[in-house]
Amino acid sequence: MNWLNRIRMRSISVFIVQAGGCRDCALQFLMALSENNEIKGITVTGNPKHADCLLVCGCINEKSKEKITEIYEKMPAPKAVIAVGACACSGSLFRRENSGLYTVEEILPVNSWIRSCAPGTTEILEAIVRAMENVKENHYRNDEGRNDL
Amino acid sequence: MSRTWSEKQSRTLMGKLYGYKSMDYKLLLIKAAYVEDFVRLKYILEKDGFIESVDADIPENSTIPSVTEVFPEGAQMQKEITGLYPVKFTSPDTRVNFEQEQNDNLLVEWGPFHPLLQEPVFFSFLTKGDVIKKVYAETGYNYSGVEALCTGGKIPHVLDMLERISSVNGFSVGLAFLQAVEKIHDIIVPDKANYLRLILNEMSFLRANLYSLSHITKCLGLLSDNSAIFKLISLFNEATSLITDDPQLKGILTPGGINRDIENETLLQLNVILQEMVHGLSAIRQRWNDTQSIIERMSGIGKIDKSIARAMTGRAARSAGFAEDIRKLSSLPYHVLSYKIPMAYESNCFTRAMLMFDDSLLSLSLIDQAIEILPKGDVKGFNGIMSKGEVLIREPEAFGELVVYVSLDEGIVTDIKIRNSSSINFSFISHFLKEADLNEVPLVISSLDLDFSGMEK
Amino acid sequence: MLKIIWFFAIILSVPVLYIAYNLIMAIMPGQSKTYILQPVFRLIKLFEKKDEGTNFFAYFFSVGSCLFSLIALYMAVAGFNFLFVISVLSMMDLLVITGAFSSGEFSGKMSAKRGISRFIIWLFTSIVSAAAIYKATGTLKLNEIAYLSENNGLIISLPFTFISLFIILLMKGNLLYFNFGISGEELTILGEALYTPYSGWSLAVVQIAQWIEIGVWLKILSSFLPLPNPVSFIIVSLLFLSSLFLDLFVSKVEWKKAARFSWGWAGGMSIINFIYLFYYLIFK
Repeated sequence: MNWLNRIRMRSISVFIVQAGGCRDCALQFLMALSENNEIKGITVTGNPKHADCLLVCGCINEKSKEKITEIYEKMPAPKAVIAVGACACSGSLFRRENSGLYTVEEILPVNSWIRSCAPGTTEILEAIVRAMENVKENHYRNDEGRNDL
Repeated sequence: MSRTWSEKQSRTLMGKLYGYKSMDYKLLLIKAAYVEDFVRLKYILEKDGFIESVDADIPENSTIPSVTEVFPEGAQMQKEITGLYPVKFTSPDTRVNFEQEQNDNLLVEWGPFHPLLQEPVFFSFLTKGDVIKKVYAETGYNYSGVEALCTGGKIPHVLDMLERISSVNGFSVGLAFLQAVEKIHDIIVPDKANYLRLILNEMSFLRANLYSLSHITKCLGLLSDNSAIFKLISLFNEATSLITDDPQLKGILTPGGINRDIENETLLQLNVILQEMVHGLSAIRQRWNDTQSIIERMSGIGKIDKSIARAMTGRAARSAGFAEDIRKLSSLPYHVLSYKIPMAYESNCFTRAMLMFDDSLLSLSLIDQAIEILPKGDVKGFNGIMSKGEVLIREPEAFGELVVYVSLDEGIVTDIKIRNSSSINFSFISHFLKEADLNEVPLVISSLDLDFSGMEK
Repeated sequence: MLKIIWFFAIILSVPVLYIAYNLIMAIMPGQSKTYILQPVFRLIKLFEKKDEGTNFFAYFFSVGSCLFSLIALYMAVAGFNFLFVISVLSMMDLLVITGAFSSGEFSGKMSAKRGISRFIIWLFTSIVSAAAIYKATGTLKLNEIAYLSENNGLIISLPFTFISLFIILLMKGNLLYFNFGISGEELTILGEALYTPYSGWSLAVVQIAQWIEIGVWLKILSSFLPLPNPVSFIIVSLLFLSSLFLDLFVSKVEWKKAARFSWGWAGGMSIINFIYLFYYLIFK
């Protein structure tokens, strides 16, 4: 189903979650959308039910963790999760023992990581497209714990 | 001291605070700390540069009267303390009250994540028709415990962390922290470094204002203006790339100055790129000023009384006619530059958006002036003497006044407390949103330029 | 045979219009952020999505609305009574609104409210228009209307009715000042508005239903022009396409304002035409 994959990559609705931390990753993503890139067809949606791809930026605390998993479960499969920025990937400077912060990996199955602070504009778009390309129909629920992709 | 909090103590505390209020003092900061079995609350008040404080030792798990009755601007700071310490405040604004009041009103829940919200915050609105009757805002989705992490850290490490607090005000927070450190350690910062810091600080203001504008255009649905402003932002990024790879300007500051000397030629080049923005910004501003539909739509919403605006900071206060000069507070050489504070006479979304344009233009002009009179010399100061002390620093940030309290001991940060402009302005969010149309909510919020990531560290 | 060709041509025509819109936007400098075939890509993508199966009502309402829009299209093509087509279309609209309301989310409820006010306006307009058409022609059958207008220039006695029906088309397409903000195309606090409860293929089906609905209105409008059927259909489609572009230069209005505009233009115009016909016939 090669052509289906290609079509999937050409119309991507993104739900963006700006959890904790500074909001530079989200700003960079908006910046990327406003530029004229080779990658097109990416739109932002406010409804998780219409989203194909979840962008998570920033460190996640207990309060936002609940909401993020809620959003993830509302999204119809196949869906991709992308951890944007150092905070989302590893917790950056803010993550210590017992600090109560999570990385995206700990709560959701992640398809792509962009590790930098702050990521470049084209990198984010490319990561989204790559993630959608390789997305699998994984059946994942929060209570099953972390799954391996 | 007794282990319970009595009615009498409440009255004494409120009486003291009320006394200061009647003398026109403003609440700067509420600080909390554990002292033995008590939680010590310190209300720091200010008037014309004089700082006073009121202390209260509160036994754990007791309820004390809310400061909002006297100083409504303290609501958000109080909320933060409730989250971190076992102290409760009497407050009528709870979500439970909301559910009881629902009756024939519709309870609308919005957030915490939405593309029209820059940062996570959860709103519950009680609405009648499309008009909002009551607002309850829940924050805390952004909290990452930075203040706690900074305590016990070394200065460079803390600086790294503070610069990453907020993408738009991180530089100002880092700068304020450094000034506190320099004050305690008696480090003398060379002139050139101060001027360069001023330029960089103004650049960070400019960036913050541009992002605020881009968000407003998005909420207005003006896509062409949105991309025009993003073009200005990429121009800004191009300019910063001459100095550093990071448009947030992280990693330039260092105790005693800045860590790299910026050539005069580079600065001139940077200025040329930045001044290109003036034309674009004033063109959009002029167009908005001439378009009746935009004026009509924006000036009808987000109105606020003068009495409330008096307690606020930043654009919300300035648009209501209070000439708050936050740059005067700074120890940077703002006094040698000539500038006029942009102001308006009625606080609503339109005037605040216009002030965003004016502020960006002001930043550009200040950068231009500072580059022209840049002195020569070193950019790094001499290391001072490691000493112990605590200091309260008031600095400007893009959206208002920033207060940083730092306590140091032998190069280790023992206590730090940051209060940015949003902690003050967010307390009034319900006043802004009351009687607003549900559709206009994103626009009103974006015109308030809140910086949650700086607010809940 | 001709009817079947018409039927499929109309189903395809609306996506073609949107693709043409994207194509022209791609030629215009500094505008294109999408692929030209984006609407089709989106549709295929949505069909291929797996819904969790927890949302039975969404399936029911989406399939129902699509079915009714198909029936309406068949009726319009076959030249049935105008009021029949209207009643089937209103059934379709009601299903979409009920679906939004049943979602239980506030955005669904709020947009259902708006949807109902839009529904009342367009239904009222079409009923008054039907009365005016009957007054002028003595029939309500679309094929007879088309025949009459081709030979007698019916539009001379029904100019305002034509305008008010065109306004209905704009309301359905969420264009210009008749945008109630329930299309979910722009970012608002309502999110995806009427389409909140749908996801995956049910969303795709609703999308198709909306396209077919616009096609039905294009077909109805085309029967008023004094030209052969295909030509007038193309002209009406081009009018719709041009209003898609005009929409770029028009700032959004609040939905209550949009409702007022719609009442004035759609309802008002149809009433004016009716009164005009009434007096015209009396004095003759």
